[in-house]
Amino acid sequence: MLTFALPTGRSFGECVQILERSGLPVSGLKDAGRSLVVEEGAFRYILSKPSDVPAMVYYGAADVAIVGNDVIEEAGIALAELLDTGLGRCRMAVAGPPGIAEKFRGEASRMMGLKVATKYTRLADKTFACWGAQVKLLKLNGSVELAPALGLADCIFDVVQTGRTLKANGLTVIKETLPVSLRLVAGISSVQLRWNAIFGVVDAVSKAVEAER
Amino acid sequence: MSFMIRDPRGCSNIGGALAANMEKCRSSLMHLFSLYGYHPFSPAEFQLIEDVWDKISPSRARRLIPVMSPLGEACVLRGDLTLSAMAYLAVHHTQSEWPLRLSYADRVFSVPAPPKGNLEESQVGVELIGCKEEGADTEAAVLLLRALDLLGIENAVVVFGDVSFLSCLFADLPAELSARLADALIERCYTGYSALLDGASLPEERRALLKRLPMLKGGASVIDEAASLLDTPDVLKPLRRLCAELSSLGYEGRMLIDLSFVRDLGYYSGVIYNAYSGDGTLLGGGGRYDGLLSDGGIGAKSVGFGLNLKELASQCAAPRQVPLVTLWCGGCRASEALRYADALSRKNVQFELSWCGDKEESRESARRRGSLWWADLASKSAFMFACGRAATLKEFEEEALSC
Repeated sequence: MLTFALPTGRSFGECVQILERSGLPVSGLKDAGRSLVVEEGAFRYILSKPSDVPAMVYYGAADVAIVGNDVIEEAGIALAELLDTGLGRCRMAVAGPPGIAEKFRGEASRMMGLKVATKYTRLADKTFACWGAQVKLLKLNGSVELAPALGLADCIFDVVQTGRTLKANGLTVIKETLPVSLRLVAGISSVQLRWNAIFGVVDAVSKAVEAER
Repeated sequence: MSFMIRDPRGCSNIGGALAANMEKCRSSLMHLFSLYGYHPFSPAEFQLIEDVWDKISPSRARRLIPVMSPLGEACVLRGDLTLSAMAYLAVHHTQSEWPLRLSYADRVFSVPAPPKGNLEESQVGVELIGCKEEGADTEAAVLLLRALDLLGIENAVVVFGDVSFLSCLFADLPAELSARLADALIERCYTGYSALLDGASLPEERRALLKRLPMLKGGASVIDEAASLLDTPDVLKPLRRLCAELSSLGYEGRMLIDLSFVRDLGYYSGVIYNAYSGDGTLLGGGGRYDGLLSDGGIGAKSVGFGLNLKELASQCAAPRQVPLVTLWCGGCRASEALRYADALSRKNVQFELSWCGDKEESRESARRRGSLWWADLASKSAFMFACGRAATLKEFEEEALSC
């Protein structure tokens, strides 16, 4: 039996769709209700909060998973990235009031000391360090877009999909960074020990993704 | 308890059954290694930063824990036992004394990679350094499998790869692309690996081959499949030879091949391996690291492996150690009790001394602690807990110590 971890929340529907198009049994997933473990045929699905998915795979509770690369990067957990499904496309970006955009033009020193609100502190730290700027990070767990208006931060670092939430809060995208999409991942031990079983899934999902394109 | 002495984050004190099991694993393996001619080696706790830094990959170097020695030298807490073994070799042995076989059971320290939080790890392993002939790879791999068998972890699997195979595969590519492909495989980022190839200017056939080969994983037959795709199948010779030797020793069912397997340590140069328990727990790994010697202008082979002692101990269930007898010393002189204890120790009997003043309390405590017998040295009487039978000390000796 192959154990598959899937993120609950907004990505869940897309995950189920791609698995269905890949020929995997998903009828139980469509009707999961409050169940967090669903067994169908040769698969066990674990439904988990997205941020917990990498650890579940790392510790071997799941062999494979579908999860956004923003979540993987933020967790900092070494996983084998097998396939980019291309689903759930969005991007990590710095956003803020239009006036702050000027700080992001020219020398990195202009960004020094900026207060940045984010759910993704690890990824933000890495990103600003790459740009050569040391900033003050404010960890928020939700409604990050509120932070500049409340005077808590100069800008935000967050996932942007349509940009509508940003616009509604008077913010604009200042600098885009990491393209984000749902990735098929596996634990390194699973890749080395259960490759034949995993490869079947990779192949099936890969074909479904190609057909979609 | 009203007081508390906390461990620093990332550190832990291990006791109880796990500690007993770790000691059992350590002593069993060090004995096994000594039978194969490996000599115990006790490495220094500190390593000089300047000697370690450029010998391991940048990602590993960033995880070293720097400390300033009280003598004013910039050091790291020992992050790698192989480098310690090499340092020992360089200072203490001439080439005429090679090959050198070293075994160790000690701790390594590093900044933990998420989601783990431990700063230290106990390892047990071997290093075979400066071997000029073929056979070193097989010796180390067989010793690894023997070690796992000895501990009763018989369903363990060893996954083999070969760094030199990938070097050959990327040899004709531009240096930057080759390095980035290797990095993608180290990070197990197959999507990144594939994207790099898609973006490179390569003949379609070559691109397809480079995409296909790292995806080959499984039993030893994978080597034949890979060889059939290559113009120079000889690059797989070291891996093929090792697998053939292990198969002829009956280990075929416990080997897997992963042609995309690369380590982030930076100094491996040939066949490498990871050992897993039946439930998929990584127990340790090792491989060939000739590069560390060749950097010093020496053309000889070096190979070694390290196993995580705590994981080994967690995998093999040792029976709980209980004393055969609790000796109540409250009714006699201490010297008399210790003389009797000494006689028992010479017979390899496990016992526990009870200095409790109250006889009944001593007996009850012995029962709670799992002792099989309780003996009163003053009245020369004994009691067997399992059947609730009273006996003389002589009867205890005849029954319990006869075998």
